[in-house]
Amino acid sequence: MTSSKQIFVLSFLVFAVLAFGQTNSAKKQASAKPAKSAAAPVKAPPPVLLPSQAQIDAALQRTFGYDAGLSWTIYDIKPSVIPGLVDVLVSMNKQNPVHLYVSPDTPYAVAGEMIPFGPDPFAPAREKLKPADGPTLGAQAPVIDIVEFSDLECPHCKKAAPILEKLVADFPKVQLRFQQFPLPATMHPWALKAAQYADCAAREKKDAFWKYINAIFDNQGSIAAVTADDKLKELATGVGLDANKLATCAAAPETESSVNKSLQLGQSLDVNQTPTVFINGRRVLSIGDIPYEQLKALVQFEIDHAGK
Amino acid sequence: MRQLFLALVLLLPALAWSQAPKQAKKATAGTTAAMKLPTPAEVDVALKRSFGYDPSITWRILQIVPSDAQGISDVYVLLNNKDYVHFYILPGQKAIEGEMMPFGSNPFADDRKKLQAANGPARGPNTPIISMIEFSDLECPYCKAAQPMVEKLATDFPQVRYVFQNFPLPMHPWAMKAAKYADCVANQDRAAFWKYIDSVFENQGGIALATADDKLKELAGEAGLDAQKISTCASSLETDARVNKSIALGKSAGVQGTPTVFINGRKLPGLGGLDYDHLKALVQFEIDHAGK
Repeated sequence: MTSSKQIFVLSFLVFAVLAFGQTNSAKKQASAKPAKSAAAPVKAPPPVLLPSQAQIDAALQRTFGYDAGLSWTIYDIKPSVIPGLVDVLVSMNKQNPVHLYVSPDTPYAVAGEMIPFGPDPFAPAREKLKPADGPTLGAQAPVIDIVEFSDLECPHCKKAAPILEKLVADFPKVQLRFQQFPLPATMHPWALKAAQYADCAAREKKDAFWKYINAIFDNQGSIAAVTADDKLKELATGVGLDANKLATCAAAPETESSVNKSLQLGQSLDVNQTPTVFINGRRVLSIGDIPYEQLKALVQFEIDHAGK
Repeated sequence: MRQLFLALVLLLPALAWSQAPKQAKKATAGTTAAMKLPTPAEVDVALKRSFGYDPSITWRILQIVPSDAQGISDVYVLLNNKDYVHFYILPGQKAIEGEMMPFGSNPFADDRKKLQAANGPARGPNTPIISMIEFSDLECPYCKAAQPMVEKLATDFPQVRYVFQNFPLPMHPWAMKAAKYADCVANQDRAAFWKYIDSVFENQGGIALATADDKLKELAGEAGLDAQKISTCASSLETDARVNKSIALGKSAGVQGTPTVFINGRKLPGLGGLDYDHLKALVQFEIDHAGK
């Protein structure tokens, strides 16, 4: 058969082939590990007997070892949300890592991406998002909500901000909620501090919050870790906030735990890159790359499926 | 998630599988028999919920079967009229969009065991280190193209047993008849079998359904066989049963298209588009992993 060859290529080089399309995986991986160490997991995963690195390596060797031109790196072995199914993150030939879902009870694995799938596939995420208590914009009794996990030092979050604000302006039934998700200092040195300032801004004067974060986004390029306090205070004054009060609040343990709570909420939803947006529980990545008309269609579709 | 969806869709031309959807596989003994498969309506609802926001995304559900892995259904979907995608349905409203493959310390044991029943014409030792089993269709051009490679492998690895199994596809009008003739040739004169199938392959272009009997007889005569006897044998019920048994064996091991070659139980549809050196390396690797 003409295409049998192609199938075979896929089944053997499935990792490599899949990797072409999945530029997100690398970002995910890059942020996944540090993000996890930033805060304790919300709940301990159920005890699962995971295959060892050596076992996974042996299995990969058994399948791909015939070709000296193929190499692989195992990044992570962890339980998936499905009991008995193990999530192995592996990179073939130094390409972006892809997921290999291994079923240790049977000699099979699926290379691909796990997605919500069913009549109400976003219900679990919606349920988990219920404790989200970040500042909001738009409808007070919304039909659906858009929850954004954002990092004030992240350029893609800056790009996403006006898009999300336009969405809530265009859809009066929708509420936008902002959740702090500062990435680790190794990636974004002043993101946590900014999150703490912004968290205080929201508590001090809710109306000023949105102006404040937009001011931070606008000044991303001129803020550095050493100047962060001065700059964040200056911007606070610029939007009518009490800068000294804000700085004191930002350094308080309560603020730290408030931001950590938001981080943990995101981690419980497997957020590992910013911005990550949930529209009625549906995860949307790289929102800045989606044409606005398509985004509007998506929001309308979710309004039509509110609560399901 | 649109990005992921598109990303996967864009890479899936590699998956293009132009032939008819694969036949429903028999549930693996015991393990998947009790599994409840989603209905087409249920799958449609799920696809609509995920992708219905974009009217430019279309889909057609091709088949819903148990996968090889316990408790996981395999939903095969044609997206946007061009991309063939597997959704492996998991509990808890989850699915994996991707490709299932054998994986583990002894991943090819299942098919190796099933294929012990392969009893087509064979070359090589009776107690081989490993077997190379080819499911082939005499009307299929890719089988014709593969044949010299497979035979060269058999020659280069005399310790490997090469078994030919008929797997005529329904889409090829005279493939079944040719399989029956070839089966009878093997029974009458095993040594002549390989010459016979090579001559059928060579004459593929000159055979049509209406002339198939004449042509297949003629080729039998040229191979030094009793053409009339072969023809009578080819239309017998026993021959029909034997060819169907070979097809059933292939299907039980998940053969969907031809040629499909199993080396030590490891499935290579279309010989994988591998060049000969890679194929050789693969056979040597399987010899090194004989029985595991």
